Amino acid sequence: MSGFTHLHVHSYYSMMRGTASIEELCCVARARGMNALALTDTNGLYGLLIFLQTAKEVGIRPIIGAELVTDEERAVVLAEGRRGYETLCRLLSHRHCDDRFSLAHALVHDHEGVVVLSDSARLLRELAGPLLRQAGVDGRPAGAGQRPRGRGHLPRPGGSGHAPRGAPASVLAQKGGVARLYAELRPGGTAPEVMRLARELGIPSVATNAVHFLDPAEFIIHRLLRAIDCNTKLSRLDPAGLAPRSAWLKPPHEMAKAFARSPEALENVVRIAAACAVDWEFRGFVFPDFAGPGKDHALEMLRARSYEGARHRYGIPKGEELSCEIVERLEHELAIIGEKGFASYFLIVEDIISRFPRTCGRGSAAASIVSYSLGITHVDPIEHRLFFERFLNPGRKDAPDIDVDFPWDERDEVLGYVFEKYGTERVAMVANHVCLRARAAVREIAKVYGLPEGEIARVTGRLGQLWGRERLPGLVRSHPLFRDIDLGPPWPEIVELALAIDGFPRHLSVHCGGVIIVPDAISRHVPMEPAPKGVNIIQWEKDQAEDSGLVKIDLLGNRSLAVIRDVLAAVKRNYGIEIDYRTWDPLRDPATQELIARGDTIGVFYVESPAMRQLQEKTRTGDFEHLVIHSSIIRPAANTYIGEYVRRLHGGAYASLHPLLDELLGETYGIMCYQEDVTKVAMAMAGFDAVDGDGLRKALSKKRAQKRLRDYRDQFYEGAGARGVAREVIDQVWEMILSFSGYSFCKPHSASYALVSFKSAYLRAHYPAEFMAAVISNQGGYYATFAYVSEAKRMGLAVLPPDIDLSEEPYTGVGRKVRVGLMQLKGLTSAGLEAVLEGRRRGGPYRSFGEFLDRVEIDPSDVKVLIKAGCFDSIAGGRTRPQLMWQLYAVMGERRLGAHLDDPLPEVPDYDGRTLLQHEVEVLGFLVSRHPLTLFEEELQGIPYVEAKDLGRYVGRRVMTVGWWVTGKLVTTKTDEPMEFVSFEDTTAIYETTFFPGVYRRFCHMLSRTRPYLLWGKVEEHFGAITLTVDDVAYLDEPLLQRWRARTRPDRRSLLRRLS
Amino acid sequence: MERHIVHLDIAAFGVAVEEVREPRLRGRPVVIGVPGAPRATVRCASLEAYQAGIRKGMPLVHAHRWCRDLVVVPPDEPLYRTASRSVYELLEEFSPLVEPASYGHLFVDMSGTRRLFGAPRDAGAKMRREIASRLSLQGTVGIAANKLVSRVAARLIQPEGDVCEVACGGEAAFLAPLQVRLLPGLRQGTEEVLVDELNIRLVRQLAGIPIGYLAVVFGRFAPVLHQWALGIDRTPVRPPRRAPAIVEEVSLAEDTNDDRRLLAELYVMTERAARRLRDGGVVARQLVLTVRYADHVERVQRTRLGGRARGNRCAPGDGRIQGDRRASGDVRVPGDGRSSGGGRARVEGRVRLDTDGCDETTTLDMHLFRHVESLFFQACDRRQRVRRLSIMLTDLVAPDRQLDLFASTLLPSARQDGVQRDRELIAAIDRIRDTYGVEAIRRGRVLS
Repeated sequence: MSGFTHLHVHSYYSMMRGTASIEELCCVARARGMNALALTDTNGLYGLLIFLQTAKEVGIRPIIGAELVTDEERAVVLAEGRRGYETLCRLLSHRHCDDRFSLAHALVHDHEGVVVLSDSARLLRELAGPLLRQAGVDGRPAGAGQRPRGRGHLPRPGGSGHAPRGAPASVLAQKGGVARLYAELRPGGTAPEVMRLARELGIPSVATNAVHFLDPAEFIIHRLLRAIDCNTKLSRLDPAGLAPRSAWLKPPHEMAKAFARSPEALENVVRIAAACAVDWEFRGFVFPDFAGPGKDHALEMLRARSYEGARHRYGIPKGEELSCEIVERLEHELAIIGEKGFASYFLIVEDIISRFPRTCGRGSAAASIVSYSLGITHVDPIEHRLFFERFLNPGRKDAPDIDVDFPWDERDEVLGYVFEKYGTERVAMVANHVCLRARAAVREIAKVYGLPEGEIARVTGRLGQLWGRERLPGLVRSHPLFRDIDLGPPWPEIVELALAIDGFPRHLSVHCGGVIIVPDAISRHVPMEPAPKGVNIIQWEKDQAEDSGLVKIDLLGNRSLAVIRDVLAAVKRNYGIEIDYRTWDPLRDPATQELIARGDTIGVFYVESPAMRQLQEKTRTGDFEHLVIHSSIIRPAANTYIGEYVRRLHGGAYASLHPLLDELLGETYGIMCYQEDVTKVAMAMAGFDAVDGDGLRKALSKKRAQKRLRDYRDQFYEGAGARGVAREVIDQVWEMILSFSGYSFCKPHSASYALVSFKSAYLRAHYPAEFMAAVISNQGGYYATFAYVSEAKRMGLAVLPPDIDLSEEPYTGVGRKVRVGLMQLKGLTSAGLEAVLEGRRRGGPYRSFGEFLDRVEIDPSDVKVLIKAGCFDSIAGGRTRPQLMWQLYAVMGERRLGAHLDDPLPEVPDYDGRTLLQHEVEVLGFLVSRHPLTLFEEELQGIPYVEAKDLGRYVGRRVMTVGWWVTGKLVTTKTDEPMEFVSFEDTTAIYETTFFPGVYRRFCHMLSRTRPYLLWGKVEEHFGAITLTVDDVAYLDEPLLQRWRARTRPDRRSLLRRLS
Repeated sequence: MERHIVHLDIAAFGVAVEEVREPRLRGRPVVIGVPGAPRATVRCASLEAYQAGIRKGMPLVHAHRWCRDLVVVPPDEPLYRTASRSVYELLEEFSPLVEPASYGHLFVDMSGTRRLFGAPRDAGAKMRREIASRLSLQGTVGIAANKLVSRVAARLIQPEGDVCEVACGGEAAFLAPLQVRLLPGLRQGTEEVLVDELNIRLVRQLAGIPIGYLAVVFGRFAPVLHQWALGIDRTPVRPPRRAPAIVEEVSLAEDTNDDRRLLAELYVMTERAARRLRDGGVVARQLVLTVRYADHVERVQRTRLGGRARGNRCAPGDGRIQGDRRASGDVRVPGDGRSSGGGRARVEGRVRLDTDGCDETTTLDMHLFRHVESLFFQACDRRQRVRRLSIMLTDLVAPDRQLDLFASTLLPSARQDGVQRDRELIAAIDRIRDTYGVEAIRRGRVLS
């Protein structure tokens, strides 16, 4: 190898420092005549796998390294080979995980296989002895550094005889070896001093350019990034924290010119590059052995457990044989699992889930009878025709992926178990690389420029929709969206700069559930660092982790599993009925099926959104097979196919696109519905092999893979054409394939989820009060709490106010009653809540307010919340709520002063009706005692509106309705115009409305969740689902209405006005 | 002696002033607020806006939802200050005891002026007429034996009333049927507890609560509250005190957050201020720097110039702020009505001859600028662009010339020489500027 190699290079993974992407660095380095390149990002290997892959594509030899930086010292550490890589990972992990990390100290003790380049004087002095002496063992004359090893015996600067004298570098040079330590010379700056020190200490020197950008012009971007990162403005940046303007990727001749006077430093570059530029390969899977060494051992264990589990699953008693079909399937799967060496993976997942009674294995793993038998998944793959090859097949090179859902509030416990079982050294979570995106980039730059928040918000608010479609700096000048804003300087400049930093990584966060377990130590494979949440994360996001061979298990939180758990517990408590989660089969329950067929599914897992409920209404099917189809077809890009599906489902005739498709897509009426249909169709129609078919499926779901997708398109057209498929058919099929871009689901996944939907639907059908209570208590559903309360009332349940003796922390349901839980009380501290419950546990129910104050040690502000919520009404003994307030103050005052008030409690009347409602909204967040629309009965008198439950009778006519906002879904049309589907309710029912773009533009600013509306529009019906296509909107509480009405009323107020 | 306190109440003062400037706003729902600022609130709402449901303190975003044709006017603090001052000066014609409580709220003590202006009721009516005819502002007038009741009276007859007089001795009866929230000076927290929690809505109810119960709720405030409920208020009408000051203020041609440009601007302002000190033969003991950002946030920093005690004086050149530095920062959003009328660009009032702890070197541009620069870095700690800068020199004293005799013993001689050189340099610059104009000689740093 000859020529110059940059050994100190930062990409944008040196977060908020470097300005070049790894791809750019590799390509430009190649173009500038270099054939090797180091990537040494600040304190991390964040882009390592991307680097290795790009370098390979570009034809450049990669050198792995990192710049380790602490407050006092810095050094570039390069890995010479696998061992060096492990050392580097270890050093980086310590740098992040150890608060007292000292670079010098760490390097003295741990430098196997690495080359250290540094320009920190202190570091060079401390390391010169230990690192060079060791090198001397094989290269230098003996006697140069015979001093005892260990702490406290580091060489002292300047002392004669301490520092190794002579010319070790030249000795090494003759031998062709590489020293462990080099003095890093950067042009300009401190180079002369470093050189002097290197001579004094006998350290060889090496030339770098501490590259931070591709070209000098990018210095501006570097400054900008620093200003964003340091939260300061350009004119107040600390120059010491900036890379010099000259730190760009200089071509070799420029570097040679800059170091013309230090030929040795240039020679050393070549030597180091030659030693470090090895062929890096990350191959195979890194995963621990569950059953001890030997993969056959694990496989045997897996086989035994699978058979045992299968007996249990299929209800085969001991002594009887499993059916042929089952055995065949098991053996088939076990053979592939064994061949690929994944037995331990299954065993580890099984070990985790077996400790938690309610889980839901999802994703493609549900296609496996092994995971079904082990209890990881709960859908029978044989009965529901789920194909194992979707999960694992001999052709697939990537690791399998088992995703398991746990009740959301048990997930931390699950993670805790994994960390405890395998040790924090061996377990870490996958990271997310959080990148600067358009809006954030514009915002951050505008802040550096010091623009007022309001102005920033006005621009970024509109930018969001446009970004990425036309990447034109002139965008803001020409686009009609910006018509009415004055975008003078510096906005064009800001937008241009924002484009330059769009997509730059900014920091790491924790991936929501990905866990990595390794057999030895994480820090041998990848640097890890602590996340703010407390767990350790690796420096790679899931794609790089997968590329490096680390196998991930996804352990995710799921609210509905907690809902099911809570309802089952309540059912047992209330009625003594026990339902066994693992064997419970609600699929054939008629009441459940009817409920699902009606779309009466608010609160039911996965099918509660308005879109899903409407689909159910239209299809009027409630069986499991169809629900599986529905939960898969309802994906963002598949709108047109949904309509077609409904038509075909109801017997609509359709012409077959191609006989091949009929065969493949028979059960989904000739429409591609599941993710794997893409693979299947590509294989059948265009002759893809399994790997390419799978590659196409993956390319569709990734944004970065646009180029790959184009290649697959060509391959598809060519392959299908060669098979004689007509061009227009290919077009249609390809369009259908494209509808899978973004996210889509495979059948095993949909089936797993549909099973959970069925279970929660069953509970809603049979135990409505318990169910609604659990849905509200676990929060995080599709709707706001208020919507669930309204729904509960529509279901005929009585929603009872909170009570000091009867309310628990969560909502509770029994029979036809739901009691508001204390958790709903806003402003009640968790300590106060606990005190109330604890007092009740100890001494039974409270009998009077005075007794409560005596028994419970609680903050007065908590008591006020309880009073306002009416919690004490049942034990007030005839006192009004204001009197309880006085009593509270009196008791507190007496305690404080140690005095006694002689006067009797002031006679204060109870709050008036309006204040009561106001308090209700204040402490509960909404009205429980009555629907807010009932406050406007007066206004509604004489208005000819149609009640929501009767809308079906007005199909095709224009009507007026009354509405309270429930939820909305903003979408954009094909021409990029925003429109919204909004669900409203009145006191009789919830109903769906559509705001088409024109109407949306006119009224979007009026839509809020705190005011009552009058809506005008046409009632439309599609396969039994009713919608209102809105054309006019008015506030029910606004004077505008007065003009419309003949009678005028002076004080027309809204809910808020009414209450404030 | 029987007291007659008049309260003049000009509702929504800011809007009223804006309507005088821009009569087209009349009759429309208008609020004062900073459009586009984050979390901007309504600072002042016109009657029309009030009737549409808009209240002071409401977020502007909500206000727009209540009222679609709402007009939002950005606050113009100097204008309101001037208008407030005009009202004040007009009322000073009636009595020397005038207290501007806040924008649009003034108390006038008319006790014993019957011979000059007739009955208080007639005087009040006259004030109202004068304000209307000379300033085009509409107000209501309340008259009573104390500030509390007169203010309630003025408030009660809004918006269309003119004068409301409460007879002496009738205070308690007057207040009894009124809402508790009409009591001025009732802080929001107190009102919330009283009305929302304890359900005491009328003054009559409040008067009936035993003082012991009030005490457990309101502590030391209880007796005052009790007195208010009975219409008793003994606080006098206090005219404002005016202190002399030198103020330099600059609105930048273009908002900027570039420190170099801001410091250049400040240097020019410092030159002017120091020149005024020298011309007036005075020394300032306090420096106040105000930075107003593009988003209308204002940051104020102040420091004392020169030590308090003589022995404690530091040399001016050591780069620190001297003596008992009392730099304190507070963020002040303009237009909250609390800022009293700022100084004019002239030295007014009487300058004291007390020379304790004044530092004469601060009359020299470069020495004063050190303090300005230091305050600037404290005040300008946001990235936000700056729109306006002002420096104010207060606590002006005429130095005792004799001090010079001791100065040489207090300062090291080398530094003393340095100061002497600066003094001569400044004197030379002053002479050049007197002859050829300010632009004739400039510091390099102020040139862009």
